[in-house]
Amino acid sequence: MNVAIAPSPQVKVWDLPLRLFHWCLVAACGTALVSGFLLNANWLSLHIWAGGFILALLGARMVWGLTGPTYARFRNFTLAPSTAIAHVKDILNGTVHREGGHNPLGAWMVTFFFIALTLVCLSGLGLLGGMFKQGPLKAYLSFATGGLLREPHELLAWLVLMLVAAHIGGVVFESIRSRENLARAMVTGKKVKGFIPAAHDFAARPTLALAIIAVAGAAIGWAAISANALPAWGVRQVTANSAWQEECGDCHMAFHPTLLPATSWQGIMTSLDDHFGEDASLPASTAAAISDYLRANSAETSDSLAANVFRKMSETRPLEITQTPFWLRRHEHIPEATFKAAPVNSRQNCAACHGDATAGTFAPQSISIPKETVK
Amino acid sequence: MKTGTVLAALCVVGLTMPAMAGPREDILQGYASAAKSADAGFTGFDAARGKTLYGQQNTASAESPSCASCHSASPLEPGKTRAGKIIDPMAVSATPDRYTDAAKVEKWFGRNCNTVLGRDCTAVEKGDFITYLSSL
Ligand code: HEC
Ligand code: HEC
Ligand code: HEC
Repeated sequence: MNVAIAPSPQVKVWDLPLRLFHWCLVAACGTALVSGFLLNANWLSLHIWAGGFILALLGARMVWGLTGPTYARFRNFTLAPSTAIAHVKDILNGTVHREGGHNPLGAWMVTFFFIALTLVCLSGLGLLGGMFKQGPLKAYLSFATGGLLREPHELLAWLVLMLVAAHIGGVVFESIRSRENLARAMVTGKKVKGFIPAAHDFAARPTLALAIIAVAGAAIGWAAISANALPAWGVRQVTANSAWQEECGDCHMAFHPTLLPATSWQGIMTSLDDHFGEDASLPASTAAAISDYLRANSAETSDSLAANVFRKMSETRPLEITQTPFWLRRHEHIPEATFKAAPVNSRQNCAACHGDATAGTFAPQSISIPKETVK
Repeated sequence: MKTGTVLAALCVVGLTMPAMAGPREDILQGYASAAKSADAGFTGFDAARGKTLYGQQNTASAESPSCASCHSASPLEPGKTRAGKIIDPMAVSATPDRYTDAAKVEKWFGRNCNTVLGRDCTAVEKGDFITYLSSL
């Protein structure tokens, strides 16, 4: 027998753009958090795209908060401390009110969340520009400045993670307390009738919203693309030198001059007759020319990531890139067998795994350990 | 007397090498005359001695005990430097432009003999080496 249950009358609160925003933000934050915390450097591109998408979503949400319908408007976010305190008291008393939009704690949470997300994305952009010399800020930030943003970026990411947990906890708690599935409401957009309506009623102005988003989006996009085309801050443009290329590229790839400080190059060029156990000696004039070239373009002259990280040498073996603390740290998880097997063949064959090694760039996106070839 | 040496060298080269002039022959001829002036009893280069030099184990360097350690056991196969870079085969039949640039040949004999043997190679050794690798 079918028992007809009269559906409770429902009212639309969350409009479609707002719901799309919400679930896109869930996907983008999930992607950014997973790629940032759990995945290795190869996934940086995905991480960057997720971050850029979050910024775009937040921008659109700002516009919709000023032009959208009633429950999308920021005017209806009740942020007065007194209301929040009253809400907490209600929770403690067991008094249940159902709000149409966000309850006062929810409004605070969403506000915090937007601020934290904006900051985490901006610090990420700074970090990307300064340290990795990529993105729209690469022309404006030094490696050191980018480095200052590293910890804040990570701390803010943890904060976002905590806010996500608090948000999910709050939704579950409030859903049980008010006997209404709030997550489903964010899918269907509807809540059961009988809630406290928002203080102010607004009609949505989608054309205005679209116009603002189109104009602002085009302006920001254009600015970002033009900034991205500028040369990166402090990165030395090294012109290849044929003597160096020929004489230093016979036994291993010719290591980019920005990979070692001038004193190390000096040390190498004055000991070529016993070069790591081999005689690599050159006529004095050729050696002098190469030495000048290497020292004129040494690590100190460039602000690239590689030039910065390889400036700190091993104390006992100051002539080797592969003995620097950074190199050892970043390659310690690669098994010896991978370095030994073809086509890598040795640690010195940077170009086998770093597609941009000859340019001295070493971007995380260009890393790919080749498959072992069997002879 | 000087003319005599050169003539003698030319005779030796004429006997040991195909009578075809080219950069490799010029290089060998130079080594032959140097060998002759160092030892009047020099009678010509020998591929068998060159083969021995190519493969023999030495003690000057633990990492590079022989020419073959970089240049591969068979001169017809590509070799590999200690730092992993592939070296084209040493046999002229596999890499036709081998031993045709005198400066390059001298540079590498200078380096590699010193690394592997701990000393310079003699003109005879150099000539034997090239003769061997031209004969494969
Ligand atoms: C005759 C062969 C040969 C030539 C020519 C040569 N190198 Fe090397 N180089 C080596 C070897 C072998 C190593 C050590 C590899 C190892 O550690 O296994 C090395 C190591 C190095 C390293 C340290 C790499 C590391 O592990 O961080 C630097 C830097 C370097 N060479 C610079 C130069 C420069 C500059 C020139 C040109 C003037 C040059 N090399 C020419 C054979 C050579
Ligand atoms: C067998 C492959 C392999 C070789 C050879 C290799 N690397 Fe790497 N390198 C990697 C991998 C993989 C990573 C990323 C490690 C991670 O995920 O943290 C890396 C990371 C780096 C980084 C950090 C990149 C960044 O943007 O964070 C630098 C710089 C670097 N390598 C330089 C070098 C240099 C210089 C050489 C040669 C002397 C070299 N590598 C040789 C595989 C290799
Ligand atoms: C540590 C590695 C290594 C060892 C050991 C080594 N070589 Fe070489 N040799 C090279 C490299 C690298 C080249 C230059 C690359 C090329 O010519 O393809 C070269 C080139 C040469 C050349 C120049 C070839 C030409 O085309 O002109 C000669 C001659 C030569 N080696 C002789 C020797 C002799 C003789 C020995 C042993 C006493 C020896 N090598 C041992 C690495 C080595």
